[in-house]
Amino acid sequence: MSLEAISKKRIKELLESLGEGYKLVAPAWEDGKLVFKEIKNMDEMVISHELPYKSPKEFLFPQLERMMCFDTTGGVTVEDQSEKTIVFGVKPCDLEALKVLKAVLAQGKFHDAWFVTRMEKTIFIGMGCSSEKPGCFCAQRGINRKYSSTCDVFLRDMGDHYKVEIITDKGRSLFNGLDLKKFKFEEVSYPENMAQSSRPTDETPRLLEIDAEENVVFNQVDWDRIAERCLGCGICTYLCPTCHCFAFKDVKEKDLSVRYRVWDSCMYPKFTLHASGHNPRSTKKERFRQRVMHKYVYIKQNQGYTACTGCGRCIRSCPAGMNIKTVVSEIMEVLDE
Amino acid sequence: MAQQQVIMDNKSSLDKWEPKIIAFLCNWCSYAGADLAGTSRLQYPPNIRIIRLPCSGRVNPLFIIKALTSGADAVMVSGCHPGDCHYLAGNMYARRRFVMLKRLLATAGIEPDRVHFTWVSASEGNRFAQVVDEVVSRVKKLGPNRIAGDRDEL
Amino acid sequence: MSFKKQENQMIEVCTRLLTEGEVDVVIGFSSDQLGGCAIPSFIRKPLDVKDLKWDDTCTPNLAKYVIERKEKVAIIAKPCDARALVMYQIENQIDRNHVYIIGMECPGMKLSDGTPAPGCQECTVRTPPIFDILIEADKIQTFEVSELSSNRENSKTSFVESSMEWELEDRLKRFQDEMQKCILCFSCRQACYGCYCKTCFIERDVPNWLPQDLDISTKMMFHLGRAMHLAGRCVECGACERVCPSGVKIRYLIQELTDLCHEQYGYRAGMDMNETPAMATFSLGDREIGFLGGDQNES
Repeated sequence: MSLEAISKKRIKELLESLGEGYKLVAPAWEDGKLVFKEIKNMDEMVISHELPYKSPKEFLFPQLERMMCFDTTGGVTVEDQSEKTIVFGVKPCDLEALKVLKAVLAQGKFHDAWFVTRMEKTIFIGMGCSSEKPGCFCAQRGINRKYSSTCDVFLRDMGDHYKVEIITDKGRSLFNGLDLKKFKFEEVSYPENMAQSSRPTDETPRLLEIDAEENVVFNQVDWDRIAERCLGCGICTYLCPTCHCFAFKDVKEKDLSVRYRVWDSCMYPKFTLHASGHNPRSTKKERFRQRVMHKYVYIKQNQGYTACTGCGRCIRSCPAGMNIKTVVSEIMEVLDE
Repeated sequence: MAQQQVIMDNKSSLDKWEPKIIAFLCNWCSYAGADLAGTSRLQYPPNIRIIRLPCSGRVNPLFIIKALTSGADAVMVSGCHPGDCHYLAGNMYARRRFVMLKRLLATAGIEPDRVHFTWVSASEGNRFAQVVDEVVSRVKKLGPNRIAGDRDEL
Repeated sequence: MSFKKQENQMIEVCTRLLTEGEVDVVIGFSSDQLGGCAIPSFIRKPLDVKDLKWDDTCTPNLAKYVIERKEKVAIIAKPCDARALVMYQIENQIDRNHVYIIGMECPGMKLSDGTPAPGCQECTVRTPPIFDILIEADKIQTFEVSELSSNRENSKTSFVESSMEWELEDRLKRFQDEMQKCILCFSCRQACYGCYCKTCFIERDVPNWLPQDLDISTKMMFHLGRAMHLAGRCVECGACERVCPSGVKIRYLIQELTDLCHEQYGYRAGMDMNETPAMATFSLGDREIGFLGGDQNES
C-alpha cells in the first residue's frame, strides 16, 4: 500500500493522465441530477461528496446487454462490448454493493462471463462520502461512510488533499509509470490518528439486520399492511445498487438472432408468472415481501451478509413513500416481541 | 446510428424502394371491395399487405402503432361506410378512435400520411383501387419509415 | 392558514367516520419521515387520525388505492382524485356505496422543492366534482407564479406548448428526446389511475406487444400505446410525470388528446358520473378529421 498525497486541485489533471486508453465514468450533472456517466469533457465531471442519484452498477451490469448472436448457418458469436473503464468517485455504500454483485455473478459454481469481463476491465476509484441525504442509513447497516476497501484505489479526504491508497494490483497498474510527484501536495504530514478520526464518531445505532428464521419473518409479519402503500413500480429495484435480477430476450436483427439480457424486477407481476398462467407472487404484498426477504434474509442465508447497503435510493425515489428502513425496523420490533 | 444507416441505405436505393403498407380491412365491406377490384381486373399498386378483420371496430390502435414501430411504412384501415356496419356501429366507435390516434401520432411527430383511414363498401371495387393508388403515392413521397426499430421479436 | 382549517375539519370528519364504524379505513395523507411530499397513509383506528395531514405537499393520487378493496373506505379526495373516482364508478371498478368521499377544495400542490407539481399549475378544477362531504377552502389561492393559469389557453402553452404548431421534425425530435430518457420502469403506468388492467398489454406474451429491450421503438410503442388507452380518460392529475425517475415529460401527448376530446366531443373525463365517456359512444355527425375522402383540414 503506497501512500501519496494529491492536491485536490490537481485531481482532474491526474485523471486525464491516467485515463489513457480508458473510458472515464464519473459523477456529472444531467437534468438536475448527479449521475454516473461517461465523461468526454473534464469540465463536466463533478468531484463532490454527494451520493449520485444512480449507482454505478449499470457500468458492470448494463440494463441491456448484448450477449451473443446466432446466424443462419448455426454459428454462434459471443459478444463482448466491455471497455477498459475507470469509475471515479464511487462512495462506500456503492462499493460495498459490489460485494453482493460479485458474490452472485462471479463466485461459486457458475460465473457470469459478461459481468466477470467487465469487472476485470473496470477500475474503481473510491471516495468518502460526507453528505448524508435524507433516507441514507448506511451507519445502521454497519457501513463506514468514510472508507471502503472494496475498490482498487481509494482517495481518502485529508482536508486540502487526498491520500491515495492503492488497494489492488489492478489499482497499482494504473499508476505504473506515472510520475506522481507532479501532482504531489507539498506540505504533507500524516498525523497518525487521521485514519482513526475519519471513522464515524457518532454513537453506533442498532444495526438493521434481521436475525430470524425465514418462516418466522415470512409468516409473522403483517405484510399486507406493510405493502399497502406500494404502487408496484420497479424504481426501487432499478436504482438499487445490489439488485441484479434479469431476463433474457431473443430478438431478430436482419438475418441474425441476438440474445439480450435486460434488467427485470421482482416488483413486476410477470417476473414470476408461470407458463401455466399461475403466478405464485400474484399481489404486491408477495412481491414486496420478496424484495425485503431477498435483501435481508435470503442472501444472508447464502452469503452471510445482508444485501442492503443503506444508500437510501429506493426511499428517496419511491413515489409512494415506501421506506425499507422503517419496514425493517418494524419487522425487528415484531421479532423482538 | 444503425437506424441512420438503414435510412441512408434505403435513400441510396430510393428508386428501388417500395413502401410496405399494412391494410386492415373489414370482412364485410372493404375486403369484399378489394375482392371486387381483383375480380374486375382493376390495376392498383402491389404495396399493400391485407389483413382481414371482422370489423373496423376490431382494429386495436395498438395494431397500427405496432405495425409502424415494427417497420411498416404506412398503415391503412378501411371499413364499411358509417351507417352500413354489419355490427351496426363498430365503425362509428372506430371513427372516434382513429381521430384520436391520428392526432396522437401527429403530436409525436409521425407524419400524418403514414396512417390512412377510409370507408370502402363491397360494391366499390373502383374506389378501392383509387384509395390504394392515393395511399401508395402519398407514402412514396414520404420515403421509408423513420421510427421503426431494427429488431423483431422472435 | 386555509390548509390548517381544512385539516382540522378533515380530522373531525375522519374521527367521526371511524368511531361510528361507518368506514373501516381512511385513505389519506401523512407526513413523510424524510420531510418530502406527503405520503399515502391508511388509518384504521380513530386514535391514529391525528397522523393525517393536509397541506400543499399532498401530491399523491389516492384513487388507485380504492379499487379491489373489500372494506368500506373513506378517501381524502383532491379534485383529481375525485375525478378518478368518477371514472372508476363509470367503469364499474368501485361500488359507490362503499366509498365515502371527503372532497377537498385544492389550490394545487407543490413538489418538495416548492415548484408546482406537474398538472397542478394548469389545473382548472379546484372543487371535486363528487363528494359525500366537501371541505371548503376559505379562498382558493393558486400559485403566485401562475396567476395566468386560470386561463386554460395560456397555461396550455406553458407545457403543451401547442405542440401541434411546431414543425413535424421538431415534434418528432421532442418525442424522441423524451423517449431517450425513458428506462421502461413503468412507474408512470403504476401511478396512473387509469392503468388498472389486470394484465397490461405490455405484459402479454401473445401477442407480444413490447419486446423487452430498450430500443427507442419499444419505448415509443409503450408510450403511444398507453396514451391511446388514456384517450378521453385522463383526469390530468400529473402522476405520470411526477413519479418518473428519469424526468420523462410525456404528459403533453395525453393532454393533446384530452384537449381534442373536449373540443370534438365536448367530453372531459371524470366531471359527471352520468356522462358516457367519449370513446364509449358516438354520434352520427362525428367529424372525420384527416380521413381519406373525409374532413381534410388536418392532413
